[in-house]
Amino acid sequence: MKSLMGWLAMAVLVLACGDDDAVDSGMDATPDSTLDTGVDAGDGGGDASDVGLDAGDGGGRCELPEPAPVLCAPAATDYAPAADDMWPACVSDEGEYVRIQDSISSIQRVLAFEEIASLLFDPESDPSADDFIAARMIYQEEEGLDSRLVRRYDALIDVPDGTDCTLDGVPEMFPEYCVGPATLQPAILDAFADGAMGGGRVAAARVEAVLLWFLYVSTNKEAFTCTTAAKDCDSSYAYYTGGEAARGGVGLARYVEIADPAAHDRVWDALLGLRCWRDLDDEATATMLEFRDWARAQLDRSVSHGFAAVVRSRIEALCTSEGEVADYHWAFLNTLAPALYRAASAVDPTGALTIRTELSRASAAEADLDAVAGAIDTAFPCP
Amino acid sequence: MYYGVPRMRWLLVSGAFLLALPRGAGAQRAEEEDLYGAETTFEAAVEAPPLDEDETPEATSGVTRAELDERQPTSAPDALRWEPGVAVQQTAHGQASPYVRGFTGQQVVHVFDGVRLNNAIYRQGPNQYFFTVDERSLARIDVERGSASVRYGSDALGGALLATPRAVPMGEAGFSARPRLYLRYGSTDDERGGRGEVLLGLGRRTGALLGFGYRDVGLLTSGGVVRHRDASGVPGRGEVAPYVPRFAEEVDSPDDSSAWRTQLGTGFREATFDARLEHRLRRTLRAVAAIYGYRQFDAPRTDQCPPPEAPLSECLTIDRQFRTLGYVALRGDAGPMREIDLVASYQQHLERRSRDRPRSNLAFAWEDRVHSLGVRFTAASPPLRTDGATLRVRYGAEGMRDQVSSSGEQRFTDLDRAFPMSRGQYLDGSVYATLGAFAELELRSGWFHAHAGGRVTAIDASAPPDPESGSPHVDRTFVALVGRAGVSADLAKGWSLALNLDQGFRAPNLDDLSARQQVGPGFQFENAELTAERTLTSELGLRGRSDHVRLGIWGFATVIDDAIQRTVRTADDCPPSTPECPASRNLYQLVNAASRSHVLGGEGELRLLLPEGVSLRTTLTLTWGEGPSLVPGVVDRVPLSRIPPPQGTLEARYRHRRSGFSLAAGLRWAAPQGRLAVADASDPRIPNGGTPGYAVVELRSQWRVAPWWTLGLVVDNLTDAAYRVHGSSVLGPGRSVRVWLRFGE
Repeated sequence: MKSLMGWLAMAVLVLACGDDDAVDSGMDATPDSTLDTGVDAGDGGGDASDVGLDAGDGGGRCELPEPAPVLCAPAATDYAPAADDMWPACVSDEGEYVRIQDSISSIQRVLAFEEIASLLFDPESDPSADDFIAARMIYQEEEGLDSRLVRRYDALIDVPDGTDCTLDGVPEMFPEYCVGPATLQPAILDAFADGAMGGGRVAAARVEAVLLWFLYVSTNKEAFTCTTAAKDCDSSYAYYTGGEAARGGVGLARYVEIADPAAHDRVWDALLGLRCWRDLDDEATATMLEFRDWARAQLDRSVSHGFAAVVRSRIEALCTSEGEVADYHWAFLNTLAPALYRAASAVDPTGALTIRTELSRASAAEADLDAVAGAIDTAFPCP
Repeated sequence: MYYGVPRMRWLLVSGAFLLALPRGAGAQRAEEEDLYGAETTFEAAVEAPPLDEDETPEATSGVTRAELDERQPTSAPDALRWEPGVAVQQTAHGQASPYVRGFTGQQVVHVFDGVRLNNAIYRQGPNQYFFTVDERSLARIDVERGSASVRYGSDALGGALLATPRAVPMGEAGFSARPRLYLRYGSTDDERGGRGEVLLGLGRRTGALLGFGYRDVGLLTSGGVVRHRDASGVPGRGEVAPYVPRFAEEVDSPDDSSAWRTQLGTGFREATFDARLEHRLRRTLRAVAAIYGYRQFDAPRTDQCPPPEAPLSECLTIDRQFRTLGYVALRGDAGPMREIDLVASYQQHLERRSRDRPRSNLAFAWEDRVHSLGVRFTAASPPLRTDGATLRVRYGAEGMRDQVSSSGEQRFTDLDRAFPMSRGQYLDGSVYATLGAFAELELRSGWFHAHAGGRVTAIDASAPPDPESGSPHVDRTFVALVGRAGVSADLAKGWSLALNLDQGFRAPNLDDLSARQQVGPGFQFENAELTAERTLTSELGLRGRSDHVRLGIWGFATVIDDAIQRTVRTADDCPPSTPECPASRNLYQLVNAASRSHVLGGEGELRLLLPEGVSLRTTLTLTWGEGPSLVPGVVDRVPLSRIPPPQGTLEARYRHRRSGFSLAAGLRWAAPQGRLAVADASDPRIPNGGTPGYAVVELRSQWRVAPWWTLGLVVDNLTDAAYRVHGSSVLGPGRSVRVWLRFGE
């Protein structure tokens, strides 16, 4: 067993919270506002909170709150390579994700996401109808993104046993659980259709939002089903990183790394922890469920935080833009309105409702973006 | 012996022959029919002569028209379920692929009335092609087990399936017309259909047969779900059942798998037609002109309707499966040539598939078409008798040319826009040409028989490149020389012991060399560098017959060199510009195994003819296969894919000859199969841990109510067992009945 204190020291450094002194010995990975540490998570680039902009047509001024100063400490059960923690030595300790299977099909889908991104995801320009057709062909390649998105369920939503989203009518009954067929697929097909008929950048933003949401849900889902199919841990790693080497990443990882590098780093730790569990527990059906639960919790917390950081950064971008660029960002946020609800409500149900409600408004001008940013800060204090 | 000659553009044909025993295909054996005794006037007229198992040196068995009428199979492959050495796998309700001694699909030759059906795109693994033979148009089906390339050329590794159509009656003066109508209803899949035909006598020397069949088949019900043998580590539906097939009842009873019976991805429609004209040129020589058509519509592939874990509405459907065979033939004796069979044929096979994904507003469509021209000639010499010995030569040659067109498109259904793919499953414009010649010689001397023979075959395969999909140019020539030899000795009257050595070969076809496709366990891409696979079958058999007993026991060992098998690949191995390859969970490529594979086994068949019209028949089949592991780091030897488990049958039958009433009971059983190849383990058609065993009982009865009409009934799966033939997508039918009526003599 590695030294707990050493792990903590490294984690604090990684998080770059600006305070080397205060270390919380409670390993709950929760914010501790009693610590006398100043955390300036928003201190990087332009200070969006000071920028009041017209978000799209008639958007109001943004007064985004400063994130409360928080010292983040990892949970006692969190994994990090080469750290002295509660985890036995395992294959991840070298800091690289060691694949269970040589070939990971999910990587191709993340690469397809990047191909689509290069065609569509530019707030500064309008893709052509042909761009949308080309992007849709990539999206709907055999065994491609579409084939998985249409069957994607959110494994972290509680539903009755036996709920099967592949059955007709079930997605409508459990739209949050059957998020792929109930929400993502209709939204992206609608966006592609709009784009093919001249929908421009707003349609592109909706495509971007749906696909990022899919990658976020998939990262958790594959970690969940890794209990009975070890190779699904590979898929979890791939859906987040695109199969890149340690600490790198394309797809969702690329977004998170830009929005919150510390969160990105913690997601990597979590993925390595996931793999560590399946190294220690290589039965066809996992039996070391304590390690599993630790790894799952670490991954859900970190990737949700990272995803929330992407949303928050887009709110900031919306606040610093105007016109069609702002429209792009609003379309992105509006599409993602329900995406954070599950994770946020576990910490702050009221804030979760705020995020979902405000981002669902008909226009950015009607949305209280400040409240959304505040709710995100409250619900996702630490990765 | 096999020689690969890359880049050779022309085909080599040279004579090579050894000694062989003719099969005696023309021998009549009416008493064989007495076993099942349904030879009405009609059957007597149209029943084709069976293979004479006593005169045939190989392990053979056959199904007669009478047996077909009694058992009421649902297809030509289904007719072989009761034969020793044969297992029938079903990837879909409208498909079935007989395994012969552990080989299937492109490794078994299909022959229809002397015309080879195997074409250049016969798919690797189980395929549907023998299903396109209408069993209702047949007089019999024979199975030759074991390697048989000397007679049948490439593909005859596991054996040959010989379908013999109904012959045309001749001999009556003047004009006559005998119509006949056959109707059948099956409760397990709501099958409704039948066949109408008319036999025309056009004078003493000319006759014709015209037939048309149709059936509409609904969803197939099973006896329930088949559970995993090893329920641990099962993703998806957990311990309940594999994802293939899915069931209609899942919608209303998602938690109660005991209610699941109606299999999605089943049902189809089918139409057939045939016309046959025969004219006797001389007493021993006749000309034949015939056309046989098969049209199958809307046949979903069960394991892809839906694909595992996909929405229930997704489906891969064979929208059209059309096969048309036309030929003219000259058959009989002429001058010094006996048993002449000169056939010129044309075949066209069309397959149109679509994958519908309604939730995605998406559809894919593919079309493959093969045009095949063939000429085949076989004949035998008159027997040459010398001091107590008889010598006879049989010889022949054939040529066949397949031309393939193939295309595919992706359609956005909400926008009503379609986009052609750069290539279809095959490369458009591919050509596969075959030339071959063989000779065999038989020596008989008292109690001792010997035979031997040889064949040379040359095959040229070419396919244009497709740079957009990274498909390479295929330009290969394969030349093979194979032989066979055997001896048999009469132990006593009617009893003999036979020892045979037979070589087989299979040159890679265009499916192996150029196809890209989603197969059951994953995505498979081409290998243009494959060489031919070769087999050597050694078999020892004891055969006997007396007034009350028929016995055949065979043991065999087949050695496979350069076996073409699936190996696991990674995304790095995928061909360029093929995103569906790295996006697939499991990737495979066909390769030649580096070391030998083996299939060992045995078959037995025993018939007892008891007094009072009672007969018993039992069969036993054992097959075991193993080959080198093609996955680095895994054990050296692994089971061969989808080798059937031990299995057998038992039938008892009573017939009251005067009234035409008969009653029969049959039992089919199979042991569990837990020996799985690497690809089997990831095949959603195979439960975790392998396929459970089963036993299925059926009852049959028929009654000739009047000379012009007969009523029949089959009660299938009396105990309503839930079962799956190893490797099948489709579960066996649950308890059900098939009722049939036949009008006309």
